[in-house]
Amino acid sequence: MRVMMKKYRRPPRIAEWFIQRIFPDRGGCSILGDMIETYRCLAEDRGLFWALVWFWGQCLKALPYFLIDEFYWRFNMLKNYFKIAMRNMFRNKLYSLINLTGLAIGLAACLMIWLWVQDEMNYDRFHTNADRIYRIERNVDFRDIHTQTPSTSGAFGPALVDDYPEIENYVRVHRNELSIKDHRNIFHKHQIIVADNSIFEIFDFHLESGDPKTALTQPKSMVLTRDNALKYLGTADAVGKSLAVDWRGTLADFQITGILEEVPPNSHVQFDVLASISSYPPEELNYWHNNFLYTYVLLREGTSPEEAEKKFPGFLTKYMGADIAKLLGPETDVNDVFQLKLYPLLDIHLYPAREFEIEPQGRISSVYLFSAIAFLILIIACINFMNLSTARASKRAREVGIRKTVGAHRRQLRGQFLGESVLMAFMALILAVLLISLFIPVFNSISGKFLSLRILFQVSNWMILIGIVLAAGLLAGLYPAFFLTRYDPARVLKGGAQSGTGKSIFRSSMAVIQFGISITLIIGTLIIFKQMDYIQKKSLGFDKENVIILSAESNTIRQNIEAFRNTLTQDPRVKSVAVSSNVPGSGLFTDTAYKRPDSDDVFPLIFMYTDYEFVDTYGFEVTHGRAFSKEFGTDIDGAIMLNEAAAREIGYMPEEAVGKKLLRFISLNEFTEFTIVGVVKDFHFKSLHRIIDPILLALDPQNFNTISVRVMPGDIWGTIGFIQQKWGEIFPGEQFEYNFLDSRIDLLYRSESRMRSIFLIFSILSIFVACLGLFGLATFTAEERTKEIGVRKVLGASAANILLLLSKEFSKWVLIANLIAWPVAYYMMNRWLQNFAYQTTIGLWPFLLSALLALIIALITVSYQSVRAALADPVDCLRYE
Amino acid sequence: MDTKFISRTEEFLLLAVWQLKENAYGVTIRKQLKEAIGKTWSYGALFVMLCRLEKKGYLTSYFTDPSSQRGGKSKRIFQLSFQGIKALKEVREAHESVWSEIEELTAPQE
Repeated sequence: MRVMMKKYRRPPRIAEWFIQRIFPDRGGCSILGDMIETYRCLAEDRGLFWALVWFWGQCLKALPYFLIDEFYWRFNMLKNYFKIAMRNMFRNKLYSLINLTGLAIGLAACLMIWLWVQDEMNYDRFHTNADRIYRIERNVDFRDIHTQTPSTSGAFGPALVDDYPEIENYVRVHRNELSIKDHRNIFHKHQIIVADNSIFEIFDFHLESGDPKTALTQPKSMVLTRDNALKYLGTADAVGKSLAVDWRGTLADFQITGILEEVPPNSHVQFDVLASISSYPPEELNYWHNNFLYTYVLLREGTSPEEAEKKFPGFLTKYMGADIAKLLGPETDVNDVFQLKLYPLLDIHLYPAREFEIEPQGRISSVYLFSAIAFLILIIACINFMNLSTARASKRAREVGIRKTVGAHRRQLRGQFLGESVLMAFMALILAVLLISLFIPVFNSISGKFLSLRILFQVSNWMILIGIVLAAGLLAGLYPAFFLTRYDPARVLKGGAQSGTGKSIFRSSMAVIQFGISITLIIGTLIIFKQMDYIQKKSLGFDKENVIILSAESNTIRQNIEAFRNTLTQDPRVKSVAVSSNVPGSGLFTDTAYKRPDSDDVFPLIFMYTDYEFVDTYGFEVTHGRAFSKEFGTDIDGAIMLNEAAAREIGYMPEEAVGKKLLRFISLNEFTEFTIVGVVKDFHFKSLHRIIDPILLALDPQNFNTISVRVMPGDIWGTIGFIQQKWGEIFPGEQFEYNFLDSRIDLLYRSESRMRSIFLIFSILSIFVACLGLFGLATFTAEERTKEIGVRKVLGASAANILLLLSKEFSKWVLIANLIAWPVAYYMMNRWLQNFAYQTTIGLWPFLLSALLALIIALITVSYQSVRAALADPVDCLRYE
Repeated sequence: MDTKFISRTEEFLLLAVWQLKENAYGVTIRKQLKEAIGKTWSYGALFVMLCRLEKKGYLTSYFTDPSSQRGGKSKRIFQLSFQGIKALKEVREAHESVWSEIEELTAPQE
């Protein structure tokens, strides 16, 4: 019985332990004592079970009170910390301002780039089946041609779905430009996509109205966005109406079968009008040997693309083997020449095909480059923040001393400093978000994107954001938190706590890193500018200035071109008028197969149809033979000119090519014969990213799409007005569309010029932030050395001496930073220049210039403080002794 | 003057301690409160409040010798400090001055 009683006496040990943990007064003895007393009473009155229940209940109830209490006391202290933090901020307004804006700008720049990167990375992810969609591409290995072409012929899609159960569906997509007649009978050129109806099944493109199952099944059906419906039909209620379209030279009616939802800006293919691919004649779609469209396939779930690819060789033999053997010789295996590849949809935007991409896409290298810049700017901003907090924190040694004396624990002080810098970091974040919302339209117009802050408000992004800010805050607070709290209060309060040399080495190396990064960015910017300048100034092999390009797609224009030419050339402002199927700087060139009569080798050559005036108008230099001429009546029957690259391609020296024959394949066994009448010097008809391709100019004055007008420099706009007036007279009802040859060529470097602006902005930002930091540091050093400067002046130092003394240190940092930045920048920019076949030399001056620039900026930044210190009256600085 | 009054709960607690004189420790205070206002407090809540009052200086406490009846734990006896008495007086005066203005509480008429 006594044993039983004893058992009654003791409540559960875990509960006891628990109470002792959370109430640390004398190990929780008294409260536990009280509870045990009551527990005993209860156990005797109402039994052990109830007592146990009661005891546990008490324990659980105690927990929330404990937590609330903890918070209650912490809160009081927090209030104090907060108050002190605020006071400190306001006492050192300049520091706080520099600190906050520096971090805010850094964060804003970083976030902006982050938004951009996110956008780039998320292309095409909105499609539900994105990871199962592949584009059929063809690897070509033929002689020295090794390319991967993203385009195929129309026959691939249906045959692939028929032959392979792994392939669930296909869609053929063809980009086309059509003239569409609006409700006021005016024609507009419009980029449209011609596609199978399965575009709605494979991709997540939606219709606002109309049936997505049938919208594009019938020939000559069309869907368009609401805006386009308004533009062309004058009403958004367009379904069931029809539009007149210039369809291959004749006017055809297209039935509107639906209203298209806007295509998301982060789709790699953009369109606002879709037409049915069945509008094309079936024989064109079922032909294997062209490659004018893009085929996308949807793989069945669980199929790996590698496995599917392995089965393709049989496919090519089956459908193309015989033809290829006939063309290239019976021993040729089609699989040696072509390989079919499945290219993942999600890779298209960042790893686009080298050529013939459906739209200009991004580049993964830019994503890496910009991420690196974002990261670097963040580092600069964080270092700034850290340096300034540290510098300022040593001013607070006295506070630390007092707090320690009245009993603050080191842990508490650490918490205080860390908390303070985290608080600052969050204030900077808020400022940064404000900055971004202010500047995002500017950034969008530079980068050509539709970014919005919305992505930032996704939960996952918030987490990352808060993580970054927390990390920045903690990092910045680390130094004061750990070093400052180590001070011996007795020494500090006596007024002796001076920063040791260790700290200033730390701070100066941080400043060196900041400047190193900024200088790297400046060098990068300068080299990009240099390369762009080189591109603009490089002789392209023709004169790109003062040429106006008119587009001429209709037969009326083709028939009346002579009248137009004669009218224009009568005016002294117009030098010459030429027509051609294409012009230099245009994105798309077509090639055909040629061979020499004396050999069986096949040469695919890019060709352009031109007229007699073309060579003169563009100012090509004829190096051998002659240009096309009306004096030679035979020219019209198959005269061609080559560039030097083309002459070499077919195996002639440029001088011996003149007079030779060349055969063009019409079909596998039929040829047209051409005679080479002249060779022109190589000219850049594509961008300077590539070495000059061989090109062939054929004489066919009736087969053109563009008119090039060389005008006299001077009154360009007046001349255009004149041309437009004559255009209206000679081609009534035809749309007048013009642009300038040089601006067309500049468009080839759009992504580079965007990069140039972005680089420029961010290097300015980075140097600005770095300067803020430097300014803060200079202020700090000047203050710290007030007494030293005073003594020096009393002993006879001149203001100039002092100035030199203060500037020397900072100059030293900037110079060291240069030494670090140069090799890094050289490596980076050399890599970037590899993108171009024609590069400017890097040279020494970008390096020297950026060094000079950084030095000057740094000295100007520092000078405000040094001049003030140098001119100060020594009496003021020494008086308090 | 800007006097910060103690809260109603604090008032009850202080009064309980006052009434219990030399015997004011957890168990008795809890019992006293239950009798006075009919509310059963958990020990957790009680101790949090008592400790807070002590930290604010209204109460002082000392520990008695451990007793076997309490599982070898000591009692923590609470006493009102001078500040505690002052705080109670202030509350009382404020109460009385406020209530003296009011003659009779009647329900508002229809």
